[in-house]
Amino acid sequence: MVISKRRSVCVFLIFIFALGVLILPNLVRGYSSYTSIRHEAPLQGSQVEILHALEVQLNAHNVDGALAFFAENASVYDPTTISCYGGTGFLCEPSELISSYTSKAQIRGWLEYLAQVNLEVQEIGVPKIIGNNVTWSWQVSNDGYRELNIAPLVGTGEAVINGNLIQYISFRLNTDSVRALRAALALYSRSPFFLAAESIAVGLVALGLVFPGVAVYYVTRVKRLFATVPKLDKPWILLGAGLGSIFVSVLLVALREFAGVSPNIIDPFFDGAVSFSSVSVMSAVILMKRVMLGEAHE
Amino acid sequence: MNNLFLFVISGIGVVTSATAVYYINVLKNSFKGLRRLEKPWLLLEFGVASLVVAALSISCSGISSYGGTVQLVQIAAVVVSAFFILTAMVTMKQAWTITESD
Repeated sequence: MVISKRRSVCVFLIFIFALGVLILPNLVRGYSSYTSIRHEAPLQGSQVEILHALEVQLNAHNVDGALAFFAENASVYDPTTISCYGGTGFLCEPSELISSYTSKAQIRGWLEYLAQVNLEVQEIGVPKIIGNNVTWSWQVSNDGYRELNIAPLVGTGEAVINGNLIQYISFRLNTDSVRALRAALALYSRSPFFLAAESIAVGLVALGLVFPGVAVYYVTRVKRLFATVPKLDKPWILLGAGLGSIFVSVLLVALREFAGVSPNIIDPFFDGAVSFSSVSVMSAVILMKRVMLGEAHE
Repeated sequence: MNNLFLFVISGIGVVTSATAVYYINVLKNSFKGLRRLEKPWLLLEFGVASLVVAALSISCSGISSYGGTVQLVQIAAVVVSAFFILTAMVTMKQAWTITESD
């Protein structure tokens, strides 16, 4: 009876030991996987949270709010935007050459453009996270896509997030969306409205290049008439410079509209050229008044 | 683009073109005796006044949501300005040439 009792205790202990041997590795593996989840989960959560927060700021068209998520040396690649001219007028094809933004000022310009075209972006599916890299799918609408009746388009985003800041982010449309966009743009470019608008733009730019060019020629002719008054040389030269900067400003518009150079690059130079022409013409006229009226008084 | 930068650029453009219009007016009044010169000065005045519009539209592009329309106004104002200045120069050259031959 005693022996059988001891035997059953031994069998019970062996059973417990065997059970322990079987369960312990799984418990250890489980704990280690639990701890690895515990280390990764907040990181994954924060990366996705950053993207969600960025999405909220983009949809609210809050440029400063969205810019705060980017690191100082961040870069953006976004070939999905279409440059619009005339508000609801001309549309340009997306150009990969002008789709990279590599400084905070350029990223601000990009965000301002997105706000201007009333961007709406929405994440779809579950983001994939590998280390600091996040890949996700999204759908996007903007005024250009809405006007072409193809909104929303679907694409893929890739981001590298270090800490709480975005180091790199890119947006690419998927093949079907690119196909839809190209087809819609091709159809739009054949519409009478587009052709009329395009003709007006070409006409304006051509006149804008010819007028100042011819005007400079006539300024030199008038300057020659006053060759006997050397003091009048300077005003005519300044007037010529003013006309030259008008020519440059129209040339910049041509580069923006027809060569696909980014408005973020062109617009400040255009504004500067217009202001310079005003300053130049003003200086010319003031000098002219001084010389001509001075001469008259003499 | 920074709105402050736009306002500064626009302010310079507006003030200098407005001053230019004033000085052209002074010149025009000084040459009142020469009727042939009235037209060139007036055309030059119009040309510079268009530059005022172009400079004003710079600041409008910063605050208006109709960015495309403002850009169209800008380029149209610049082209019109170039046209008036060109015409002013052509008529001025003619006026001075006729005066010389006279």
